[in-house]
Amino acid sequence: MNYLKNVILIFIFFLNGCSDNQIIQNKDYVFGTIVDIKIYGETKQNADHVSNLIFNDFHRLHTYLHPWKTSAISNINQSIKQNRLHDIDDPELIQIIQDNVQLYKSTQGWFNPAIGKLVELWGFHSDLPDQKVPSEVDILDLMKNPPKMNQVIIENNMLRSENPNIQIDLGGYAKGYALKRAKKILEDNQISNALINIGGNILAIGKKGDQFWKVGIQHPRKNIAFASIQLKPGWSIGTSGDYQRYFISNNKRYSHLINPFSGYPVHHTQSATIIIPPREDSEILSDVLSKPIYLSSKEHKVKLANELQINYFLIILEDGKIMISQDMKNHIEWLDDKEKNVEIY
Amino acid sequence: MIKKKMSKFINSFKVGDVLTLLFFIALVTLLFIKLINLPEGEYLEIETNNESIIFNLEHDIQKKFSGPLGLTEIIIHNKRARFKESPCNKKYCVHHGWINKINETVVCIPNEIRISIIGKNKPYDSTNY
Repeated sequence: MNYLKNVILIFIFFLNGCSDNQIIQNKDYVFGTIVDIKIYGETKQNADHVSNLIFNDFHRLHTYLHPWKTSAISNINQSIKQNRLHDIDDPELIQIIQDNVQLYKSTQGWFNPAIGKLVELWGFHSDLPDQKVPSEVDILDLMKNPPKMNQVIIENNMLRSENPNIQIDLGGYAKGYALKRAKKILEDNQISNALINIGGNILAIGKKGDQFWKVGIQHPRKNIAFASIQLKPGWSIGTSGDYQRYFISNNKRYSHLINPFSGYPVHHTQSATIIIPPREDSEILSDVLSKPIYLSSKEHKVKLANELQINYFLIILEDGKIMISQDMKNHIEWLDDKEKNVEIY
Repeated sequence: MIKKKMSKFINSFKVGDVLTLLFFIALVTLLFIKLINLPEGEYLEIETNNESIIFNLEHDIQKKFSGPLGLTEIIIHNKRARFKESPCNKKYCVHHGWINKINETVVCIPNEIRISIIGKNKPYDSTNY
């Protein structure tokens, strides 16, 4: 009967090998979207504790930077509207504003967080968009004196702007900034393997055991990923697209992403996905720099990507054609037959 | 003769053997219960000889895929999936019916098409959108 015992022992040994409880996942709803934190190789207690520290910081940021509810940003907007000097005795806020001015300059105005009034005009300053196209007169009126982020000036802790059309909206920056903060919190708590997803903007820290973290890239017109990619430690990925916040009027799709030069959403692109490997503020850049690539014309996209040192991009144009950089193509794994319609740059 | 052998066999059992045997039976029963209560999957993976595509089980589809024998039709309906039509002879794949539990797989060997249900263990850890 000894053989019976041996069989059972071997069986139990294999059963143990099947369990994989190494990833602790926590979710919360912040920034109007789902935040998902996965931590690898930590005790549940520690992972839950650090995840909560991150969620708390995200909730703080959401209230702090909110574009239309009472916040540090909407207070600034109020002062600009009334042409008042704004006392901004807050190092974090000064840094954030200066960062945004710098990003406006480096993207040649394609990333322009000063266009909050346009976003509001298009009905996106509401949890439930109006779903109607604003009047052309209103848009032209606003674009006569177009708001530009470099018209926001901070001197001696005082913020001012001569352009009353400026209304700061950090919707294209806040998630990237939150990722940067989360990275710091993880480092401070000696957590070296995690994956943080804020409404699609993802930062990979370390690895998942001996494997890289892997993310799927959602198709802009289907509820499924059409490709997946392995994120190396420190890589972050961001997508700008017309399929999360948008409305359809007269069979035309209007996205919340507004071209700062025309005042209108664009129709030539469905989505632009970029990956930024580790560099100064790469988490922020993965959020911010997908906007210029999404908004600029097809002819401009590649030139702009080169100027902004974006080596990994994948753009889906309105007709479904894919523009992809060579580096991105080398890393991507297609989950459907899309590669048949791909142009490599 | 057989009776004698049987009783000799049973007599050779010691208490420990009976206990381990009972433990083993209980374990198999538990595993079986666990197996039939497997969580329902979220995605259907379809593999043909030249491509692999993943569909969300939330959305009904009816699609044809080509294999060496011709077109095989696969449908997703009410978060379940099945082979609807196949050019193969025996049509085991079609007779297998619906699948919806994680890791359930039906293979049509003659037409080289495989469908499998995937659960939370998606082919990736998170989704960028």
